[in-house]
Amino acid sequence: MLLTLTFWRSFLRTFLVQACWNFERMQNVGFLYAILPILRTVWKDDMLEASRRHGQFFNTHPYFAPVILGAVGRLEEDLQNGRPDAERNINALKLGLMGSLGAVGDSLFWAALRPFSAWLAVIAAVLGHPGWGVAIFLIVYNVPHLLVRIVGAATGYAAGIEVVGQLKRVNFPELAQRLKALAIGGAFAALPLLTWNFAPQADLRAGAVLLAAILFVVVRRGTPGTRLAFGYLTVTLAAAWIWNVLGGMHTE
Amino acid sequence: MLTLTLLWLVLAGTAVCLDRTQAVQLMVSRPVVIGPLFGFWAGEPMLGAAVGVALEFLYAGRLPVGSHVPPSDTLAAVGAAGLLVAVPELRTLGGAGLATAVALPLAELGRDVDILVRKANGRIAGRVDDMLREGDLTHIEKAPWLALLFAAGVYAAVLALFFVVAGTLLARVTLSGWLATAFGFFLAGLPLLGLAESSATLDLRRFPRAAVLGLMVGMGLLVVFA
Repeated sequence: MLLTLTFWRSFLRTFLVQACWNFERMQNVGFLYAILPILRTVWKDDMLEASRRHGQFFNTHPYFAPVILGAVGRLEEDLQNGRPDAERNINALKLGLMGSLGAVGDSLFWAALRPFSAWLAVIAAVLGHPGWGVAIFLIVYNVPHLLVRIVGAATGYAAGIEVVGQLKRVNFPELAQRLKALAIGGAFAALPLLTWNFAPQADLRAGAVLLAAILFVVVRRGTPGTRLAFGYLTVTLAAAWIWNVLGGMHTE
Repeated sequence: MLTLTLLWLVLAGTAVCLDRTQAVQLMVSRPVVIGPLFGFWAGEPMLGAAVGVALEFLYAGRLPVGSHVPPSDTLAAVGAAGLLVAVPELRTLGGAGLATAVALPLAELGRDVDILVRKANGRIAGRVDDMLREGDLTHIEKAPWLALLFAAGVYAAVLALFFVVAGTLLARVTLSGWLATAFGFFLAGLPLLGLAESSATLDLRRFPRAAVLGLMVGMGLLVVFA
């Protein structure tokens, strides 16, 4: 039974699964590093073959690495106990899960939960509570993140190869879509506050609303943010200089 | 700039840069976290938050999907908010805008740094491959730590160089009049630009009902709090 200190030691190592991310085999070193304590416990001194198995290409969303680690740990145990199909299952499970969980994780965490948490933090900051903003972001983002890691590792180990079916039952794509809708709601909730923040003086407010509207129409997908920012800086400096030359602005 | 402050800035900046990809990923590396935290450190949390909010929005749509390496908003946020800590003269809205403008190229540089680190990781991974082939597992567990150490060293070097050069130069700049106003407007308008950019990149317009509902909630918050 692996659900011991060894297993959780391996679990903790998944926090470094991307430490040696490389273009050739991506997270292979990180995954191997994470699973080594399990392999050492299961295979004792005879762990070279198993280590080679996990030195191959590996890439998934880092938060879903523990669920794969748990399931693979269970299958390594099965293999050591003489289950003949376990080795094939290990490779099939890794190959099958890493790609799909990678895509699900990207859309769930990077494209939905992260912006949603960030917009909440932004709203808190714009309303004058930056400290609360930080706390809200870290809690709203990390509670689901850490739950996915911890529950994933335990479920993966308990289910072994059956984890594929269990993961299918959780409708991650639907969840991601709903979270994305929430993220969009959060972003647009921040819009009036940011516009107000841009122009607290009443005489500039119409200009701020106009600027926001122009930006939404003009900015196109794929334009690099840094280039956009420098373009905007140039326009701001030129406008301020012209206004200054025309005598409209003397103080900050 | 005090050497001790510089040292702490580089250490804190390096730690959050590692959180971005290499270790843990609790997202303390997001600009919306770095900005206010460094702002508290500088004694101006709202200015730090303004920097964080601006950079968060500007790069929100750039996602690290697959092998794509996005610009490092983390490095830019550490640079901009760190300048508020290092250079007291920048602790005005215009000054924070200037700090943000100066730190923006760090985002693009950060992407190059990330690519460099990943290429170096490729060499470490190659060495691990050799060890597996030779059947020598004794040093394999050192590989991720070596990669972390290298990445930390590169981030620390970039940040130290940036703070020394930009900090020294900006400490001599007196921002006043129309320039201060312009940089203030730049910082305040950057989130609007970022929201427009991330709205296009993340395809936010695909969810019109959520957008309208969000807009109404925002208007409500404005009425209640502003």
